[in-house]
Amino acid sequence: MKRIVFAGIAIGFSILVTMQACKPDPNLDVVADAPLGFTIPEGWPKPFYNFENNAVTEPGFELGRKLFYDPRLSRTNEVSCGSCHQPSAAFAQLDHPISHGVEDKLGTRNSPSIFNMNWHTSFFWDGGVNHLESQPINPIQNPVEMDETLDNIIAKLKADANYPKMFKAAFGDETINSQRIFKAFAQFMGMMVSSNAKYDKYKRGEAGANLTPEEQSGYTVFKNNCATCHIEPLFTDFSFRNNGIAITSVNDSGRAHITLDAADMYKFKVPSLRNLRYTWPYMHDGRYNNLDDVMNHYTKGITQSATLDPALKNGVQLTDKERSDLLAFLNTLNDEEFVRDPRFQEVN
Amino acid sequence: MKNILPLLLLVVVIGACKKKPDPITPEVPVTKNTNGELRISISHVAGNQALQVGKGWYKTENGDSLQIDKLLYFLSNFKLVKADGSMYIEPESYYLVQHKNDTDFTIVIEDVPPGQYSKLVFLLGVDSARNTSGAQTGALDPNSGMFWDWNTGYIMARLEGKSPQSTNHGSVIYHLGGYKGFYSVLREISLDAAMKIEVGKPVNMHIKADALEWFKTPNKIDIAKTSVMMSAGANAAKLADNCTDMFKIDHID
Repeated sequence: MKRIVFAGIAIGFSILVTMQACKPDPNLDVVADAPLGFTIPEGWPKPFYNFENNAVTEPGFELGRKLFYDPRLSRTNEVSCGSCHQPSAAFAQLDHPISHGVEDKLGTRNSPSIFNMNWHTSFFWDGGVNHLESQPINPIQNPVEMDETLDNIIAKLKADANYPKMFKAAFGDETINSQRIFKAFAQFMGMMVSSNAKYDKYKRGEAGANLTPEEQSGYTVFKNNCATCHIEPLFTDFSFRNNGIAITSVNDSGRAHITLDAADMYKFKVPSLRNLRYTWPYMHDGRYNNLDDVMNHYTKGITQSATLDPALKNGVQLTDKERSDLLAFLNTLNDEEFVRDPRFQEVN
Repeated sequence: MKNILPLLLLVVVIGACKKKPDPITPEVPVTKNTNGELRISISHVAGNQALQVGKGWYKTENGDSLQIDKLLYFLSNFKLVKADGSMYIEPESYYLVQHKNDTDFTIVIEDVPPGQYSKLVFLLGVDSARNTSGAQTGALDPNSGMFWDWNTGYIMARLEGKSPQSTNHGSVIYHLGGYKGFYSVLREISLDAAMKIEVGKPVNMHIKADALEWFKTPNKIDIAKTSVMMSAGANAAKLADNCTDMFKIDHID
């Protein structure tokens, strides 16, 4: 055994020596093999997407970041992914119930936040998309969002001075195709892990990360009233539920649009409770501007309907003290380090 | 072990400088010389006439008039099966068949081990695994217009045209998609085909694919009732059942 190990080390060393000696082709210097550290935060479950067949590398990640902030991915060259998914808003869009697409067109749903995507089992409010790599094609082609074709985007990127080099650095040659675009996007978005809120530090037992008595009490209120759907540590169970918000004139059928099942009418994906400070307004159509409105909904605004989640039939009963403690606890889920993380800020 | 170690080091050192390493295209063992090839050419017909998109008018089983403008579909997972049940399975076997007037669509199955085969088996559509595995390329590139971006999955087969019987402004639009459970439109098709695969002697199989079969059996389509179909569901599954007898081997040479 020892000999085999020794032989392995010797061979490895000789390879190193010869690599230096041969002066490899400079074109091969930028091979996509420099891994970027994706680590599963302590105590978290295994992610649904773990970069299988898409090892995350620095050039791949940087390409994804450039694409994310590039408005040329839209028909009018004015709307980028980052237009409606801003870092300071935890990659939602602040103060916009509905974001503006090309030519200020409006859809019907609130721009969702982007973080901890690798744990998501589906994407969008109705969960219609089943894979992180298949996600970007939807807003790109949507006529009220970016309204662009994949072929047009590829033509624009090929004509750019930098993109061909960036694709080569990320994937080994200058070929630009939709698969590489989507893999680069997945590398960028998959690396967006938000796990450094006060709550996380408290759970990890880090020095100075104690919850105040109000926050501690709010944590108990959360566990007793919210944790059925907003399961720790991601604060969602990724299921689809009708939470009793009133049906509007849009009459968005939600999950039923995908499953064609009447039992799924008005159900939407349970959003995470992380980073709420940055992601307002709330709900699938951005109807509530602040957490007080959200609390009012759950305590006294539930609309009864055939598909209302059974857990919400009688609403949530909270005393004033419980309510303010709960708000204090939710405040511990805001991850300032994440929204300020320089790796995810706009480039171009 | 001790004795061969210096030799091993020498081999590594010499070997390293000989050839430029190519990280993108690893060497594939050459087996083509020892294996055969099946060439499948598909010609589209409408009943007993050659299909002419944008030109010909045809009568469906229900007696409706129909002009076809577009006919595209995926075929995947080709297998050549022997009488004893053993088979050759083509790796990475995905084709997007697109009709062009007066042109056959050709699929070449390379690298088939020589032998006597009795059946050709393939899937109409893209297997469920490739509908759930993220970004694909080649025939499965979503830029083909054969991909639903809002409800992930391939449009397995697509027929578009015109009909005076249509209740949708004269147009007929069938997009067959869905890969889950009883709403799946994936259909395995098995054609009896006696073929002797030999080295250096490609076998040519000529298939006629009849577009009017979409409207025929077992579910006769009334265009007035079904002018548009663009989501997965029981009706799409019925149309998929019709498509399964679209393919007939005309001859093999």
